Amino acid sequence: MAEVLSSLESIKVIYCAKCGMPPEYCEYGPDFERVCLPWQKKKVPELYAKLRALRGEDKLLKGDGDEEGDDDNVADIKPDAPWTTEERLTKFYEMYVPEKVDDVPSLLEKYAGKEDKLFMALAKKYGSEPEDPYYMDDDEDDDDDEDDDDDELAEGMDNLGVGGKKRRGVKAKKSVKSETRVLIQKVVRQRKKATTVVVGMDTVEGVKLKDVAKAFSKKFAGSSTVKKGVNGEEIIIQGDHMEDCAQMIVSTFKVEGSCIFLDFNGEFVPFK
Amino acid sequence: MFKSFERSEVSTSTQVKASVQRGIKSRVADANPQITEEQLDELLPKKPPLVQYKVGPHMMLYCRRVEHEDVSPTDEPVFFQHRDGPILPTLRVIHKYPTLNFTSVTVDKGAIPFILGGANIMCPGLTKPYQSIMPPDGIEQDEQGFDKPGLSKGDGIVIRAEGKEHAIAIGVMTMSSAEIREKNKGNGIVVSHFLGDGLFFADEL
Repeated sequence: MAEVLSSLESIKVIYCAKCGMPPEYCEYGPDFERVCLPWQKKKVPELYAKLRALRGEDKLLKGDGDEEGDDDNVADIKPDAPWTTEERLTKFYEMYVPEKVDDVPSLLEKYAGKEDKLFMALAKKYGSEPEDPYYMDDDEDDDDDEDDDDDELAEGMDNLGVGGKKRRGVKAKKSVKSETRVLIQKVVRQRKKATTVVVGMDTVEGVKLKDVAKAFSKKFAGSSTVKKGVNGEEIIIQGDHMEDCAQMIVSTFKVEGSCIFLDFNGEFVPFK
Repeated sequence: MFKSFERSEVSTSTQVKASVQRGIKSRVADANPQITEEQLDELLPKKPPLVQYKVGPHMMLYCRRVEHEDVSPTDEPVFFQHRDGPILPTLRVIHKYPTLNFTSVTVDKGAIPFILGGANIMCPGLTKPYQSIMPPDGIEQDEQGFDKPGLSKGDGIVIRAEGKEHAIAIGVMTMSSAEIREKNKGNGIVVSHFLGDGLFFADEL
């Protein structure tokens, strides 16, 4: 492409179906090894090989184990495909009763179509089965790898919208999942006047404290402010709204009821 | 600027007048001398005319109508403009037409994750010497990777990344290229559109 072509040429750009980025930028996304890499391997093998070579070269050039380099290592160790049923069974027997490994083919024949039952029975008898390294990072443990392909794709499409909101780049790896814990207290000002104090809304993901305060003040028709307290940022609402407030946090901000604690005279009672 | 852009954020859509479209074309051509007139004509055909969307108070999106067989036509963003700033192409367009030579610079590899998070481009990322980078096609570059005869403040620019094929962001220069080289500190380019932002995921409206 040394010369500028006079007419316009359009190409169909391949974007990662999982994160929506061009595949060469996948590695900066949050779920690179778990989601994007298997996708690349399956759908665009040439590109995968090329990118891998590129990354490999980079490692040589740099020679130090920086973040990307580490990713590569993890990726390299990972096998190309999940275990087949036979492999799975063999591993199981190797782990618990090595002398029975030879029986695997006959067992498979006997339990053809009922493998799930077989594995359940085995797990009951010997213990939990060995983990498939392919699914090491994956929480789902299904053994049929043929038909979930389309589901995955569809899932990827669904995730696209969300993917845009996911953290990307430097922050992708930094993000620490903090435990959500919201505490609602009632503080009595004067005899009949009370304020509701909500602590810990900053542990809820995806909300801004200011917006939360605004929502409260709208809902409870009183002033509501964000203040720095002893336990971090707290929201102070005029009036006694403990129950209503908890209900609202559950419905509006999608916080689990069990993460919300109501303070009744020093006793923390989970809401629900 | 588009970090949290949503499809629903566009307010009004109007068809662009032919004269306005000519203006857009000439401005793009002025800013990117490498792009030939025929290419532009093909990118922005006279029929159907462009559709202009307003985003917020100061942002304009120029979109192209795309016909579909089974669903009603949608609009694909082609250019955007902030206030009276430069008219900039969207990343999807840049990726789709690799032969379109928008004026571009290349940034250091270390800056990539920050740009993907929406950060502006700092000067050192632009001046760091590259070992193995070829200058993008058709543009003569000096040893620092800047296009001759240099860019001035307020120019729109396509940002590419070291070792990557696809452009990573679109931005506006806050200094001239000479200044960047001299100062080598602070913001060099304000990024207005980057890979993974709202506009990038809004491939059609």
